[in-house]
Amino acid sequence: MTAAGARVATASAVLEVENLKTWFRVRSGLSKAVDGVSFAVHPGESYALVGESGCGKSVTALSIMGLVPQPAGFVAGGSIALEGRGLLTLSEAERRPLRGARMAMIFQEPMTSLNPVLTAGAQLVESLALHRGLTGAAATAEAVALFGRVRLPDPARAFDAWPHELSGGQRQRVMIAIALACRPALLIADEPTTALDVTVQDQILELIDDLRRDTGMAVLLITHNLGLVRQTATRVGVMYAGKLVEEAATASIFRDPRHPYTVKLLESVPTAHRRHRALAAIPGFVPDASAYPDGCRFAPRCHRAFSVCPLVVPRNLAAAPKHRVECHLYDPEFQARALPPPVEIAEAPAAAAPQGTAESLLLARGVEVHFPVTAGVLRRVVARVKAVDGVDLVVPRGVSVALVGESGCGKTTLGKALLQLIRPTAGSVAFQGTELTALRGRDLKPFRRRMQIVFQDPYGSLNPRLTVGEIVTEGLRAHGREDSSAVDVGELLKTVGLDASAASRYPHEFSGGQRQRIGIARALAVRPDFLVCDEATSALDVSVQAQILNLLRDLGKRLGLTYLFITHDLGLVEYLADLVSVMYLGRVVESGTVEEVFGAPKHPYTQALLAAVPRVDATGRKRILLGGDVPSPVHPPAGCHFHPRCPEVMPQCRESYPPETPLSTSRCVRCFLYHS
Amino acid sequence: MIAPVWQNLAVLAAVAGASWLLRIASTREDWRSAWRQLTSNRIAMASLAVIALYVTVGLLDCVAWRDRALDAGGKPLSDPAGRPILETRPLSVLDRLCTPLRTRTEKTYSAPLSAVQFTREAVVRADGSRGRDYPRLAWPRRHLLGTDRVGNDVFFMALKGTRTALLIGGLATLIVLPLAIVFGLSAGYYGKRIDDAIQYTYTTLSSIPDVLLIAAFILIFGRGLPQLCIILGITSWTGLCRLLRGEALKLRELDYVTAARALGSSDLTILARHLLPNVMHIVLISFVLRFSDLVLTEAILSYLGIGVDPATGSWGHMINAARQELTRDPAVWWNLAAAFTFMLGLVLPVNLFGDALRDALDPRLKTR
Repeated sequence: MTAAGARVATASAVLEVENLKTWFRVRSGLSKAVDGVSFAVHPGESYALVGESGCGKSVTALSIMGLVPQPAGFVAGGSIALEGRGLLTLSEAERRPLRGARMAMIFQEPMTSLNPVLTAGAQLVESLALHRGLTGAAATAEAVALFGRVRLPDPARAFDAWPHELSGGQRQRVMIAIALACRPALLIADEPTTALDVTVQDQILELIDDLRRDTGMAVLLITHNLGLVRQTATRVGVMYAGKLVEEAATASIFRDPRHPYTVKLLESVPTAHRRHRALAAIPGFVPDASAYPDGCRFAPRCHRAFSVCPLVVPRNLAAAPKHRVECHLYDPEFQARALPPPVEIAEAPAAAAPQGTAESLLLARGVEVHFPVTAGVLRRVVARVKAVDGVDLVVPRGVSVALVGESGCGKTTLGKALLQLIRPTAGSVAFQGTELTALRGRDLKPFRRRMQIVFQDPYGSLNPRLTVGEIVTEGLRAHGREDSSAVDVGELLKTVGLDASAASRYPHEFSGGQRQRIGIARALAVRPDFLVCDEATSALDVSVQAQILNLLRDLGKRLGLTYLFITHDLGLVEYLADLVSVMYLGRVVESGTVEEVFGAPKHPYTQALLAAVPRVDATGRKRILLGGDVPSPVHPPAGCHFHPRCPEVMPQCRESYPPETPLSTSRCVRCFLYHS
Repeated sequence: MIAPVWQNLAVLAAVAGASWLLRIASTREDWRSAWRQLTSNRIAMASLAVIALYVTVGLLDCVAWRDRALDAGGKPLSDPAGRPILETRPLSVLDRLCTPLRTRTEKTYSAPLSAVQFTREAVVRADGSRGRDYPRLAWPRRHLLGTDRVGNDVFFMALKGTRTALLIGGLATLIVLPLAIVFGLSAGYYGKRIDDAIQYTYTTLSSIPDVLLIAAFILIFGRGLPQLCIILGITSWTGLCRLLRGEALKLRELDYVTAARALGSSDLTILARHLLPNVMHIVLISFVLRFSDLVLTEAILSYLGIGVDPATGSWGHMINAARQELTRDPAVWWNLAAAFTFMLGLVLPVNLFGDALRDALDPRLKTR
C-alpha cells in the first residue's frame, strides 16, 4: 500500500461542510434544496446522509463535487473544505484536478454511468492517465490490479470487456475501480446499490467497507435505506427539507433517536415485531423546496409539535454528547412548554393470523411462462427465456401470500401469469375451481373483475390524459356499470384516503403516495376478491410506504381481500404476509409460513437472501456472502439453478434439479440437503 | 344561372362536418378548458386568425359555378334548342370577388407596383421615333406583387394557390391520419402477425420511390387535384405509421395499459382511451410538418408535369416557374417571393397553433 492509501487518520476532517446553502432558481422563485447544512467527515469514517427523496441529500453531494446543475443551481452560502482547502473559492479550473484525484463519486445507475462504446479498461486507463500520468503498459498493469482489488472475477478479461458484457454488479465494481484509481481521500457514494439486487448489494457494500478500512479513505454514503445505514455507516446525518435535523453515531441514532422525524422514520419501517399493528406513518409529505413552512419545517407533520414549533426556527443543539439535533424539544428555552408525548393507544395485536379456511382461492400447478428468443430473418426460435419454469402456488382465501426473490427471478411474470395478463405456456391456474388458462375473451371477463393488480411505479401506472375519476371508473365502464359511477367514485376515493374532489383532477397533480392510492382505488372499484401487489410500495419513501401498508392492511380486513405480495422487501413480508414462497430463476425453492421460512430458513439461497437484506432491527447477524450474480434465465445452470453460487454445493446438485421435499404440512423446500 | 359543381356539395358537407365536430367538442369539458387556455394565448389566437383567413379564401375559391356565355354584344347565348349555353370554365366566388385583379392582365412580366413592363419592346414613342423601350402597363402601379409570364396578377395567382395548398395538405392528411393511426397503433399494440403484416406493407410501400408511384397512379387515374391528394396520402402515411407503431410498442408495456387489461377493458377501449390520446402529440406535430412537405411535393410534381392542372393556380407552379425566372438577368423574383410568403404565412401559423393546441390538450402542462 502506498502513502496515500496508508494515511493515518488524523484529527483533522477530510471534509468539512459549514452552513452550506445550495439553491435553485425555479419558476416559482427559489428552491432551497440545501439550506444550511453543516457536518464533517473524518478519515476512515463512513458518514451516511439519510432522508426521504427531496430532502437535499444528493444536492449536498453534488455541491461537494462542484457538479450542481448550471445555471439554475448555485451555492448561495457556506463553505466546503476538502482536507483543509476551501473548495468554493476555487475556480473551476483549479477544482477540476481535485475531482477524481482527491474526491470521487459513484452513482446509483451503473447502467448509464459507463460509456457504452469504450471498454471498461479504457475508461479506467483514461482516469489513470489524467490524474496519475500513467500510460501504456504501466497503466494497463495498474488497471488490472485495480480490477483485482474491486474483486472482479477475471481482472484481465474485465479490462477488455465492453460495459454491456458486464452485469450490474460488475459495472458498479468498475465504477468503484475508476473512483479509486487516484486513491481519493473522500468517496461519495450516492445510492450506490439501489439499482442492484440484494445479494449483489451485499457484495458491493462489503467491498466499499473493506476498501475504506484498508485505505483509510472517508466515505460519504447517501441513501434512503435505513437498514443499509445501520449495517455500513459509522455516523449518520438525518436530512429533512434541506436541513440536517439530527446527527449522531449510528448506534446511538438507532438506539435512541431524538428528533421526532427520525423516531417516526425508524418506526415506519415494516418489521416482524410490528406485525399485526399499524405502522407509524408520518402524515403528509416532504414540503416543496421553494415553499418551506415557517419555523420548524417538520412541524406540520410532527406528532409532538407545540406552540413554538411553527414560529421559531429550531437551533442546533446537543441532545447528548456527540448527538446533535435541531428540535425545540431539546431546547432549554422552550422545553418547558412542550407537551408530553401523546399516549399511543396500543392496538391489540390481532389474535393469531386469520389462518384461512382450507378453501383455496387460487391454485396454480406447474405454471410455465417461456418467452421465445428469435434470431435471423426467419425468426427461428433459438432459445427460450424460462421466466417462470414450473411453479406451484396455493393462495387460500383470506390469507396473504408473499412471493420474494431478486430481480429477474420471474416473480412479476408469475403474478401476471396468474391474472392471465401473460398467458402461461403450460400449467394450470384455477380460480375457485375454474380453470382460467382455457378461458378466452368474454368468458374470462367475469374473472377479471375478481382479480386485480396494483403496480410498483406510481408514475407509469396512471394514464396522464385521464382524470382520476375516469381512471377509477375504468373497471365499472368495462363491466357496463357506468351509470352507478357518480356515487361510487367519491366513496372509493375516501376509502383509500383521498378527498372526493380529487376525481376531477389529473394524476400529475398528485404525489407518488397519492398516485398509489389512486391505483388501489382503481383496483378496488370492481370489488375484487384477490389483489396482487406487485412491489406496490417499493418506489415510495419510507414514511409514505407506511401509509400505504397501513391502508392495505386495513382494506384487507374490512373488505376481506386476499393479497399476493410480490416484493423483494423482506421486512414487508414479515410484517404483512402469512405464507411466503421464495423464487430463484423461475422456480420456487422454498415455501411455507412466514414464521417457518424466516425463522429457520432451510434452502441455502433463502439463508443468503435473509442475511443479505440490511435491516433496521438486526445487528451482528451472520453474514453469508454469495459469489457472483444471478445467472441469465436463458441459460440457467444445469442441475440446481443455484449450485454455482451455493456455499453447500454437492456433486449431485450439478446433475439434476432437486425434487420437492415437504418438511411439514405447510412447508416445502427444493434442495438435496433435505432430500433423503 | 347556377350550375352546381360536385365540389360545391363537397365543400358544404365538409363545412357541416367540421361544425358538427366543433359542436361535439364544445360539450366536452376537457376541450372547453383547452379552448379557454388557447384563448389566453395571444400567439395562438393570432395564428388562428391567419389560418381562418386562409381557410376563408380557400372556401371562397371552392364554391364555383359557370356563367351564361355572352355574345359580342353582351347578350346571353342559347343553343338552337333554346337552352342556355354556359361558359366552359366555372368561376369561383373568389374569382368574382377579385374581378378587377383577375381581369387586369398584362402582356407579360412586370415588377411589383411597377408602372412599366419588365421587358423592352419595340415601341413608337410620343415624338414619333421608333425604338426599344419598356412599355407602360395597361394597369400601371396596380399589381401589388407584379405579374407573371403571361401577364396574370401574381397576388391573385397566389390567392388562387391557397385552395390547392389547403386541399392537398388537408385532404392528403385526412387520408394519412386514419391509415397511420389505425395501422400504427394496431401493429404496435397487437404485435405478432398483425404487426408483421403491417410492417411488411409499409416497408414495401416505402421502398418504392414515391415519385414513381405517384406518376403511375396519375397515369392510370388521370391528372387532377383529387387523384393527387389520394396518392399523396397513400404514399406518405408510412413515416407516421412507423413512429406510432414504435410509440404503441412502448405504451402497451406501461402499467396503466396492463391495469386496463386486468380490469377487463376491451382492446378497442384500450386503443382509444389509453393509446390514442398519448400519441396525439406526435400526430399533431407530424401533421404540421407534413403539411409544408406536401405543398413542396406538389411543386416537385408540377416540375415533373404530374402535379395539378397548370390552369389551376398553385404555389408549386409558381415555385416551379421561378426556376427559369431566377436565371434571367435581372432576375424575376416576385413569383417565387409571393409563393414563399404565402406558404410561410400559412405554415408558420399552423405550426404555432399546432404547438399551442398540443400544450393545451396536455393535462400535465395545464396551469391551474
